[in-house]
Amino acid sequence: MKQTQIQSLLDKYFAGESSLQEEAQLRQLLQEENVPEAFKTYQNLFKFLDQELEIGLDGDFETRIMREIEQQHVEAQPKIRRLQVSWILRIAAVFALVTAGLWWMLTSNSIEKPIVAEAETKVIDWSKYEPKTPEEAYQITRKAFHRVANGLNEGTEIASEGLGKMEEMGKVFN
Amino acid sequence: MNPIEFKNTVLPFKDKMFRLALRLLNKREEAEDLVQEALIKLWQQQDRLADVQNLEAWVIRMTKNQCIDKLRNAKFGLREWKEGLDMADAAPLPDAKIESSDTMRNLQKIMARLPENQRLVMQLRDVEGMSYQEVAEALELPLAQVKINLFRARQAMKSFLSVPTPKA
Repeated sequence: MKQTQIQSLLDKYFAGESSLQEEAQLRQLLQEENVPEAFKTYQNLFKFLDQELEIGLDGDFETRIMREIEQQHVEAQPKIRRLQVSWILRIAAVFALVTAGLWWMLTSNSIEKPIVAEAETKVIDWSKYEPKTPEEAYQITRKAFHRVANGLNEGTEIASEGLGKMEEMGKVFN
Repeated sequence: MNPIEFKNTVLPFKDKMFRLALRLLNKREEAEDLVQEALIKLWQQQDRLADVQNLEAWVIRMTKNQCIDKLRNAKFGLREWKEGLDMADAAPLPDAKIESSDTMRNLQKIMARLPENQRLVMQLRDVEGMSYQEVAEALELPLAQVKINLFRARQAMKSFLSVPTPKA
């Protein structure tokens, strides 16, 4: 029974058709003490393959390789930090320059523009605007009257021009 | 990946890498140097390791390719390889625990003289206990080629044992 089993497993093994499970079973059967004499020669083959698996590196190999890797890891660290710091400084410098430039532009514009001049260039919302000094109120009022007077004068001129043209047309029809 | 993660995920394959390198180069010192170089190279490619599906197959493939590069290199030519083979024939097997009977030494010699692919397939299947699929992936061979190489390698070993399989 056992001999038949070993024979069958050996046939499959040498035909390259055995599964890992069957190969493990074959090793197990061949390791037993009462293996039939005819199969003892195959014991050597599996003993040889098992011994090959025991070959390994020296005990201190792992220590040596890890020391090398740790060293490379440490050497790589400062480079990354230096790069990060230099980029942060560059970005901060650009940001500071842009902020300073904007602040200078905004503050210089507001100092140079007098309120009266603003009143001349913009349409004033009279419901919200409150002059801060009597002089400023006087200047704004004066400018406003001046603008109204100019408008009236222009209107009179246009109207008189229109009347003159109508008189000429009347003469043609008469 | 930090050194601790590398130690836990990649270093467990170091002996397997060594056995494969030894099987190809036949020289213990050369095989050890090669494994060291391969591990350092793997560490330097640590960013890629996270994307690797089958780390074991990848590590074995890399070891095999480095061995083949070394064998093709003028510095480690045929002369050195044969020298290694002679040393393997003459010297006791690498591990002191290993029984160095004539049969064992002869089996070692037969395996060392097998064609490269047969040797590698037998090493990964019969020594390392990998499945046909894993062997195919690690050696970048079609499954059918793996089985053919394994069949031929086992037949060579059987011929050496020179005892006809007894009939039940």
